[in-house]
Amino acid sequence: MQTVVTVDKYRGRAAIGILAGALIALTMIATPLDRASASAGAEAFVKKVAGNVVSTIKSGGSDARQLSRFRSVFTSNADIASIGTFALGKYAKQLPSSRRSEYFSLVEKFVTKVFLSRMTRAAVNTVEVKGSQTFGKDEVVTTNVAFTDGRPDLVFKWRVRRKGGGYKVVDISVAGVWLAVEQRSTFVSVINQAGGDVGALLSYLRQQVA
Amino acid sequence: MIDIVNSDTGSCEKRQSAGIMRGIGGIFAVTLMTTVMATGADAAQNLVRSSAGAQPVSIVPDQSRPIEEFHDPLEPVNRVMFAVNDGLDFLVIRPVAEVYRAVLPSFVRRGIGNFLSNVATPITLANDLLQGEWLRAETTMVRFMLNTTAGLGGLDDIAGRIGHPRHTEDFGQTLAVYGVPSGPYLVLPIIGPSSPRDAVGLVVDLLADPWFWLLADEDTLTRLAPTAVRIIHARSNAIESLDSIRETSPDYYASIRSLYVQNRQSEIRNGRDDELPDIPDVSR
Repeated sequence: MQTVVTVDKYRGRAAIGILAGALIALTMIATPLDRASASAGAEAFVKKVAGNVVSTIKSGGSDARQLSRFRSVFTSNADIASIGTFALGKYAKQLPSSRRSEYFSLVEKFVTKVFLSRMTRAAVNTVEVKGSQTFGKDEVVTTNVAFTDGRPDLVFKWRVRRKGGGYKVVDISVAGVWLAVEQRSTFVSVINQAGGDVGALLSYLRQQVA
Repeated sequence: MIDIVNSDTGSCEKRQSAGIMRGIGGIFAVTLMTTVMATGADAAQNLVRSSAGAQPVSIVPDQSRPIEEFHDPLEPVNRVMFAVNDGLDFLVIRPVAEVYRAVLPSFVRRGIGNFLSNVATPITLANDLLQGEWLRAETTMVRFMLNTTAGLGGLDDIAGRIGHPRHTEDFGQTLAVYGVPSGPYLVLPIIGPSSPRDAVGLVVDLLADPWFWLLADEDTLTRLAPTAVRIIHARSNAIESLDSIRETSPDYYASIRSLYVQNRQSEIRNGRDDELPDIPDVSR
């Protein structure tokens, strides 16, 4: 009896070992496939967003109309809450919860205005997706941007992450400079110069988007 | 300074060496200014020095070293100097750059840019080799040979079109790769955004530049001409970008500082994103 029980125990352990090995093997196979799928999805998303940005720039029209169209593109595709929180830097926890909604709305309008201003002045002509790279939970999609005024092409990188069933842009790099990092530097500087008063930043943003 | 007087000819080598020293100072200043102006340009191209972390200097180049946060302990002084430089740009540099752009068609300016990049090849190649970047050194050499010959002395970037992209290296980047900390962020007179490490790097590159020695016997204006052209050319490519940054930034000084620091970090890492800042996942 004891011998039979021993053999069954070993068979059970063997079965568990085989099952575990199979699961590990499947994970190893599935992970690269998941990554490839994530990269393809991120690249397709950036291609769509970049295309919308370029067509908005090229569509012309009044400044207000362009701004409105661009804001629509930005609102739909950017993770404003994450970007806005990041931009506060060390002061993020000092933003009262009662003012979060107002702050995110101001950031949305301000960043839209800034980005559109910089892109239209840059005379963007085409944006071509070149590839992507995974960084933790985010994908960084590399694009090549060509201009109409004869200046050299620039590399734009789009940092995107899965959110709400799709993708959202959390940052954009132009020639090695991440715009959210720059935004954080200036926002923190404004608050620093106001003696740590986050309200000073909100006042500034209200003036800029008025 | 060499204190030698040639009594036979009446010429004074002391004057010549003094002239060279003035030339060094002048070219250094102008080159640094180019750096500054080119820095803010183009939505943050160029500039941005970063350090390789407060670690002991190592002889092994390591571009994967963690990038230390820049620090700006001299911010009040830097802001004053930034305002002075900005005024100089408004009064002199930008107007000249606008005329340059208005007078020369874009294809001519592109050719000038290509030529300037080509003549800077020795600096890039030397620093590629110092950093152990053999593949990049090979690309630099191929670019130089192709563009100098088939590219009409560098006016046409043929190499770039056939898969040999342009890149730049300088001694400041080499020092960073070897673990030399950048030191505090500095805004130098005329020169603009810099750091102690990168200021040293600029001087070394200046002295290593063949043009500096080729023009050593010329008058000051001739010696400064290549650098002046470089400054104006870079500024002409950055007019709209800098305007946009100035108009849309809550703090123009902080923007230029951030653009400079980040761009420099990117240059040192050769464009790689080894690290990304942690952007929290927040719900509205």
